[in-house]
Amino acid sequence: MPEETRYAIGDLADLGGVSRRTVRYYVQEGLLPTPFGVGRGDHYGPEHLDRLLRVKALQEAGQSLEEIRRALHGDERAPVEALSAASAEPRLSREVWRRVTLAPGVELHVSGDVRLPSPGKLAELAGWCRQNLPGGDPSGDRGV
Amino acid sequence: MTEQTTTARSGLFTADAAHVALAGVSVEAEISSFCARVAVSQRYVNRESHPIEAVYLFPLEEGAAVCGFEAIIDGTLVVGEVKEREDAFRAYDDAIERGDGAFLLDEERPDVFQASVGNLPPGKEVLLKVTYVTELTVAGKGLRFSIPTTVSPRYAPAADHGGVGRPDSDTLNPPIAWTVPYGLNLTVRLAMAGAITRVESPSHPASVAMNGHSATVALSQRDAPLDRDFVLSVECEGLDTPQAWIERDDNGGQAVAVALVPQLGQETMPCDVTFLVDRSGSMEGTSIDEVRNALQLCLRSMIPGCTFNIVGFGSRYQALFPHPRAYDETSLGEATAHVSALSANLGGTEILPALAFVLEQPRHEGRTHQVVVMTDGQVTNTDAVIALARTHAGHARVFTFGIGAGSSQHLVNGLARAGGGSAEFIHPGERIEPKVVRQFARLLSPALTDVRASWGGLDTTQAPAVIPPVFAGGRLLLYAFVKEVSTGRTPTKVQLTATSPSGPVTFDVEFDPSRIVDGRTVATLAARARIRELEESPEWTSARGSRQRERKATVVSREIVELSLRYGLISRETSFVAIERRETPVVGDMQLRRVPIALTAGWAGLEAGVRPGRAMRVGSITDTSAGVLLSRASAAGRDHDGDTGDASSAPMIASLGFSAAAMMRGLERLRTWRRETRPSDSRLTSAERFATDMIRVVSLQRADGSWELTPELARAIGHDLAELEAALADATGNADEARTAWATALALAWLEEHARDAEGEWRLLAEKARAWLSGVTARPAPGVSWADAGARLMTARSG
Repeated sequence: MPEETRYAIGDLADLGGVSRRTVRYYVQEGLLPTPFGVGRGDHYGPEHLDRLLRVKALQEAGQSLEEIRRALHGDERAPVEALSAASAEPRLSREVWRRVTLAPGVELHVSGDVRLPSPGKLAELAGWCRQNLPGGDPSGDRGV
Repeated sequence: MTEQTTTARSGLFTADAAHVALAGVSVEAEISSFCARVAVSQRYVNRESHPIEAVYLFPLEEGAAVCGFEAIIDGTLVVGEVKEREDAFRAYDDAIERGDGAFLLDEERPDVFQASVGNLPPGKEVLLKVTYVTELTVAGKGLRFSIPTTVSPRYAPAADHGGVGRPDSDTLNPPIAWTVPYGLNLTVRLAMAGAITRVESPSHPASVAMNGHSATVALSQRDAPLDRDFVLSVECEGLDTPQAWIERDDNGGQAVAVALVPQLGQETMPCDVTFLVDRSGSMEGTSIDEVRNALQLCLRSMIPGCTFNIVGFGSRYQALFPHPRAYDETSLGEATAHVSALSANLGGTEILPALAFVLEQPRHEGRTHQVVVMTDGQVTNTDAVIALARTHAGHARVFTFGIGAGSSQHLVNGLARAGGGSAEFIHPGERIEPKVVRQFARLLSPALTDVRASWGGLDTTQAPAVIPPVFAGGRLLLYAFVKEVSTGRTPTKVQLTATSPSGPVTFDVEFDPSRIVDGRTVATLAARARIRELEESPEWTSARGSRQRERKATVVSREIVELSLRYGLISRETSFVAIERRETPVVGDMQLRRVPIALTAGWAGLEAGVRPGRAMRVGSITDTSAGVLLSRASAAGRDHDGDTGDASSAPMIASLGFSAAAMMRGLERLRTWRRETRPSDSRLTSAERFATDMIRVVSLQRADGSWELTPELARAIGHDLAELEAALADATGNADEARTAWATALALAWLEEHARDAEGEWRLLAEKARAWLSGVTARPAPGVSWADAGARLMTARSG
């Protein structure tokens, strides 16, 4: 896969606005597909970022990992009272806004039915933001 | 396709040894005058045919300053270093990607840690050694030392399910197995300043060798189950002597520690007490029995003029009285009946709203509201609960009882620290009376407050910066870093000033400059004390409270990181990481193996004796809202291979995650199963074990301090009612009054005769009884006092 279309785990975590631990955890939990490459895997593709942002958005909306997992995979063993895949899937695909973290304090919001830019383009955009929109330290102590 | 299947998500199994990477745990502890240095060694073995990542969630002493992390693999020692939490993970993750070995130690809570052994090749074993130092808990002549061994299933309130990344309910709830194929070996060595008079473990059979100022303790059983905390009670001389230590490190930096047990008066004053009682499902069994007994004692330790209420909580909370009631015969009677019928039937552990309700109760002007919390503390939102107590610290003091074999030290201690009260732990099998009485003596007596220290004009950084109140019999332990490295000056004395009920008081403690020792123990404990203060500050907890985003850096978190890095300590912001460089990288399909832990003994009333046999497969009941749940044994106990589940890769275990409703359903099923499988040779119930004779006598006392002459009292003191009534033939004065006075005198005489060793435990209620007797005009016979008559009857019988 050319460099243009792949992410290292650190880049994926940064754009997703999550920690590297969270990326590994989502993979362990089957919420993210395993990375490409041997062993622990060494790179991720656009579909990983897309999925990561959706899972994160659903978690922020208060869904449990179990509900998200079921919505992602469908689960025929799930009892009737479970949130059915049918009701969750539309939310997954359209209603969820994905928030890409381009730089500290700068996010790109992309609706569920718009395709994310390629890794190369996103990297460009992120680089531009860091250069032109500096100082967005999200530490929360921006003067009280 | 993913590692998802490596953790079974349902069913409660006996662990299959081949898939359990942890092979054993050994603990070596050295206790000296005021602290303990403990080394915990965990041996991991990969018995599988592919590399594994073993992850083990384990408890440590809540105040532990974890200052060492090493791995020994193939005879090579790899020493860990402290990094910021995410940097440490990055180093760990990078190493695994390269094919190196990597070892990580994270602090998930101040009393819960996670060790990760990354990329352990097939057939290899590694020894992880975690070293920490910790303060000893001192009360009177005794000190208590504990080694927690079990992380009990924790209830996660709905609010804790939100947020990004791994939810706390998952992090803090490791897989649970009925039995695990690894055990605990433990040795404790004591070297005290004063003579040791008693050493015993209420939790484990242990061999004790005592020799003057030193002692050695070892578990009698090899490879003991890690299903209950190890507790050691030590009595020794000189614990209440003021002590001071100066320590110098390699760079000339000095750290000092001061320990002081101030002598305070024992006078009591009425107050407003609310008991907040955990009645969640996990308290079922011995825990709720202990709560009932402790409450009965508490109720009788109150004095006229007090007001009180009892609030039980689970998924919801309910108060005994709509408004706090004055402590009198009627309210005590209602409370006694309420407590006798108390059960652990309120579901989940929603402690936060219940505590908020209690703390926001209208209060008497000018009187402190005293809140007594009894809980096992098994919740994930400990930070939020502690923060709430801190915001109300100005008008409510919080005292806590940690109940059970594996209660959360962090919640129980942290809540008391934040609420300006104190904590006591009641382990099954321990006598609860001294603890309750000690706690009530603190609660009813005014404490030393507004404690300040001056360090003889030296420039110091003190830890903790704000000194907590000191109670009667309590020990104050205070640290300082001396900043004057260049001048080389050493402190000569520290002066403590405080406000006591009788006015300002001052204590001086002298340092002996000839006894400066080299080392870093005091500095490590000082740094830990400061880090704890920071981690429990509102600035830090509120930054963590919002889980909408990943963590944010704050001024406080930066100070925690800075201290942790300088003193080589783990914290909530920092982790230990150790990397084993390999000449030949190990790459392959690394499988995640979460080490299952044994269910805490007595948790939710489940007893070890009724666990299913090995390799019993349990039919799974998955609760969809909770994700994962407790399960019930299938009737026949099918073999595990016969199951159609993912047995090949997911051998053994259940992960216990809770929502309130889910937990209740799961527990109910477990209880049904337990009833069905209870052995016919029914042993003593835990209630019977705990209802000691003394509690039977004490629980019959009335609010005004007197007893009634009833068949129950006669039985409790081992006499025939008719015989006792006959002895009143010569009584003078009002017959009813004489009857009550006689019962009161008998109960007191019984306590003095049969419970003299435990006098400290019934002192408060006996004072109340004697005060009542002194107002009685009736006499057992002309010229005879009630006390003499009671004593005579009691000694006549035992003689």
